[in-house]
Amino acid sequence: MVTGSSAGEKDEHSLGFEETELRLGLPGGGSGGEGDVGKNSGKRAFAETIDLKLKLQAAVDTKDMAAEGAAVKLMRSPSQMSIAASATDPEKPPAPKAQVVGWPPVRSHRRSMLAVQSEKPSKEDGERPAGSLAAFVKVSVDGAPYLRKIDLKMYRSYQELSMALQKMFSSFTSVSSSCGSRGTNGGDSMNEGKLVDLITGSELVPTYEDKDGDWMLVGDVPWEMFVESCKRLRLMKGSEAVGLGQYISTFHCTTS
Amino acid sequence: MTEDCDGEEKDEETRRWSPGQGGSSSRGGGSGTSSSSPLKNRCVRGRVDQPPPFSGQVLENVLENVLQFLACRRDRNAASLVCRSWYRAEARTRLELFIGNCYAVSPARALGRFRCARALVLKGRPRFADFNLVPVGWGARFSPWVAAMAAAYPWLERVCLKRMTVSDADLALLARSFSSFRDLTLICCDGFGTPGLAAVAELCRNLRVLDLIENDVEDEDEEVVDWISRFPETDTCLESLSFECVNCPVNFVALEALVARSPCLRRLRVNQHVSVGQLRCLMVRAPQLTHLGTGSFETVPVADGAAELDVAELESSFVASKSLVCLSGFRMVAPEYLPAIYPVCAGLVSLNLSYAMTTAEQLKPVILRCHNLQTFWVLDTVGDEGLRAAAKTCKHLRELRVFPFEATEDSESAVSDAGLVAISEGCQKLRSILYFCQRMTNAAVVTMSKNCQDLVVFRLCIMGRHRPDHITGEPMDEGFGAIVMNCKKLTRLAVSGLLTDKVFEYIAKYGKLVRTLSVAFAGNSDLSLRYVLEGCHKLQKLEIRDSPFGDAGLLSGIHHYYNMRFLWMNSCKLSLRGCKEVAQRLPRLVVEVFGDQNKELDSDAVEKLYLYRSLVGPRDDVPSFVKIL
Repeated sequence: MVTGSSAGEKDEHSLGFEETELRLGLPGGGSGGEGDVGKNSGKRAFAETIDLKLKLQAAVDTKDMAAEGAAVKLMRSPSQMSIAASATDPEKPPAPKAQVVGWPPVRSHRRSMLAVQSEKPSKEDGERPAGSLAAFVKVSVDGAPYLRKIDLKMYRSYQELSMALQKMFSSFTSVSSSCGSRGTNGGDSMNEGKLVDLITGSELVPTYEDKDGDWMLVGDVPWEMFVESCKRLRLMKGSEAVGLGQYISTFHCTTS
Repeated sequence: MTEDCDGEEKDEETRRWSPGQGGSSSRGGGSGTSSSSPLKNRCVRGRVDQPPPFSGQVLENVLENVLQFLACRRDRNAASLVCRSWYRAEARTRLELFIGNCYAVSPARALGRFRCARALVLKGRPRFADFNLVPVGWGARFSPWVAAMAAAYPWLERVCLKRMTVSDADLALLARSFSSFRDLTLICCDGFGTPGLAAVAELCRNLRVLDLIENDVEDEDEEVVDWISRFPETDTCLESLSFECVNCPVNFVALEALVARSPCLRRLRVNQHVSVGQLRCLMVRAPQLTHLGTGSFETVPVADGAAELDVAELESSFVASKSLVCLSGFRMVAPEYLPAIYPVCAGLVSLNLSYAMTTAEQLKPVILRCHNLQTFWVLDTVGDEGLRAAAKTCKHLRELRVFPFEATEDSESAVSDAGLVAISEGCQKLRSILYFCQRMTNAAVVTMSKNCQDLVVFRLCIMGRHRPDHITGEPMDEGFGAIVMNCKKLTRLAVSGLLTDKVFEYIAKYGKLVRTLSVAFAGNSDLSLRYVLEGCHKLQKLEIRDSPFGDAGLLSGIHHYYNMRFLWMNSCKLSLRGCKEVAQRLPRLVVEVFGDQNKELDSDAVEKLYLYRSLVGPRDDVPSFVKIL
C-alpha cells in the first residue's frame, strides 16, 4: 500500500497532529488535493512594511475588466476553502483541524447563506451563539475577467490566503519557480509565494478595502485584525502602485 | 426544489459504445444507426440526406405522426436505431434535446441532426465543481450553444441549463432570438447578473417560467439593474418566477405590481430581501399560488416605526392561500412567524426549511401538522428529536434531506444514527435521502436498508473523514453493504466514513442498478475501483476524491468508459502514464488532466482527471491549466 497517501495524512490530522511538516520537493507535492502541505512553515519573518493607503480612483479607472468582451464574462465562483494542511504557529494553541477543499460537500451557496444568518443577533435561547462563521469577501485580480468570493475565515494566515489565491487564479498567475530555503525565519520562503502576472510580468500587489472604505496594503496588520476589517480584496498590478515607494508583493504576517 | 437531479434522471442515455467498433455495423439496415459509431458518421449522413422514394415518403410521414407521441428519450434513442427511415423520422420529431454533457457533442452536430427541437436541456460542469474542485475558467459556456440555436431554432421555447457559464450577453441573445421563448431554468450556473435578467424580462414577451435555482449571480453593486421593472406593463403569462439566489434587493413596488398583473402565476419564490410584511402583500395579490418561496420570513426594521406585521395577519394570508403545496425560503426566519404557516401544513407536499435554524421545539408544531408531506429538507439543528417528530407524522415521506448547519469536520451535529433509525421506522416509503451527520453506526444504516426498501437514492455524509462506526469502531462497510443488498431499486449512492475495499466489493456484487456513485476518502487499494468498474454494469457517473486508487484501477474500466457519462477523480494515485494509456486505447474518450499550476507539467502524478465520451473529440476551449491527452 502506498504510504504518504492522502488517507494517511488525514489520519494524522484526525489524531490531532498539529505539527508543521517540512518537506522538500516540488510545491504541491503529489499527494492529495491539499497539495501545498510542503509550503507551510511556522512563523513568518517580519518584513518591512509601509503603511500605505491606496485610494480607489486608480482602481476604478482600470476597472474595465474586459467584462464587455465576448469572452467569458465575470465568472465568479463561490468561495474556495483553504487547502493548507497544518500550518500553525507553534506558539499558538492548537488550531482546529485544517479544512479540506470542498469537504464536507456542501455547496458554497448554502454555506454563505447560513453564515450570513448566524451573524444576526440570536433572539432565541435555543439558537446557537451568534458567532460569525464566515467572512466572505470578493476578490478581484486585475486582468482576470471574473471575480471570486472567498471566506477569509477558512485561512489562518496570510500565507494560506496567498496559496489559495494562487490556486484560484491559476490561469492568470504563475508562481515564480524559486524554491527558496525553508528556514524557520521564513524570509526566503516568501519568495515562492510571489504572484507574477503572467501577462505583463509585473508583480501583483495585494490590496484590500477596509471597513472605512480605504484601500490598504495587505499584510500590515495582524491576520485576525485583517479578517475583521477586510471588505474586499483586489490584486493590483504593480504599476498601479507607482509612486508609493517600496511595496510588498507577497503576504507577510506580523507576529503579534 | 431541484438542488440536484437525483435518481429522477430515469431516461439516461444507454447507448452501448463498444471500443474498437469499426466498419459497417452488423445491425439490420446497416447505416440506420444513431451516430454512436463515429467511423460510420459520414456514411450515415450521406444516406440520410437522400430523399426516399414516394411510398417511402408516405411511410415516413406516418411514422412521424406516430413517433411524435414518443416522449421518453430512451425510447426515442431506441427507435432511431431501427433503420434509416426511423432515424430520420425520429430526428424530425424530437422536441426536447437532452444533452447530459455539453462536451459530448457539438452544437453544430446536435442541432444538425435534430432540426425541429423546441427545448434544450444542457448540463456542463461535473458535480464536484459545486465544491470548488473544478478551477474557475474550466469551461461549459453557453455561448456557442445559444449562438448556434439563434440561427437554427427560431421556434425555441425552452432552455434548461445546469452548471453552465451563462453570460449577460448570452441571455440577451437568447431573449432577442426566439419569439416563442417561454421557459428558462438555470440551475447552479454562473456568469450572469441582473443585466441579463433584465434582457430576458424585457424581451421575452411570452415568458412563462423564469426559474433561477442556486445560481451564482453577479451582484456587483455598480452593475445591479432593476430587472423586475423590465417586465412588460401589460398582463404577463408568467406561471413561475423563482429568484431566491439573486442576492440583490428587488424593487418591491415593481414586484408587487408584476404579481398583480400575472394572473397565471402559480409559483413564486422570492429572495431574502423580501421581508415578511412584503411577502404578505404578495400573497394577497396571488392567493392562487401553489409554490411559495417565502424570502426572509422576518421583519425588516422600518425607519418610520411602523408596526411590525402581526402574526395573525400573516396567518390569514396563509389561510387564504388554499392551493399551497410547496413552501420554501425561510431564509432568516423569525421563529415567532413560523406558526403562521400552520393553516397550510396539512396540504403541504413539500417543505424546505433547510435555510432556517429551527430547533426541534420550533419544528414540532409545524411538522406534526404535515401529514401529507412527501419532500422535506431541513437543517440538522432540529436534531434527532425533530426527525423523530417528522417520522411520527410524515408517513408518505419520499425524500428527506438533512443539511448541516455547520459544515465542518469537527462541528457538533445534533443528528446522528438515532435520527436515521427513527426516520427509517416512520417513513417506510422513503425513496431518497441525503443525510449529513457526525456520528453514525452500521446498525442504523442496516436498519434503514431493511425498513426502506424503496430507496432509490442513498447519500450519507459522515462529515469527519475516515470516521468509523462510533459505537463499534468498525468501518462502515457493513452498513453500506446492507443498503446495496436490500434496496434493490437503488440507482444513486454516496458513501462516507471509514471504508475499506470490502464496501466496494458489496457495491459491485449487489449494486447492479447503480448509475451514480460518489466516493470520498474511501477504500484501501485499486481493488475497490476495479470491483466497481467491473461489477456495476449500469454505472454512468463515477466521482471519486482523495482515495488511494491508481492506474491499475483506472485501467480496469477500459471496457466500460464508453458507456459512462463521465469519470471524475481527484487527489487519488493516478499517474500521467496511466491516463495516457486510457486515452490511447479509447480514442473516442476525452481525457482531461488538470491540477495545480504550481506543479511541473511533466511530473507524473495526476491531480485531477475528468474523462468522458465525446463524438467530437477534444474541445476547442481548453484553458491553459487543462491538458487533454
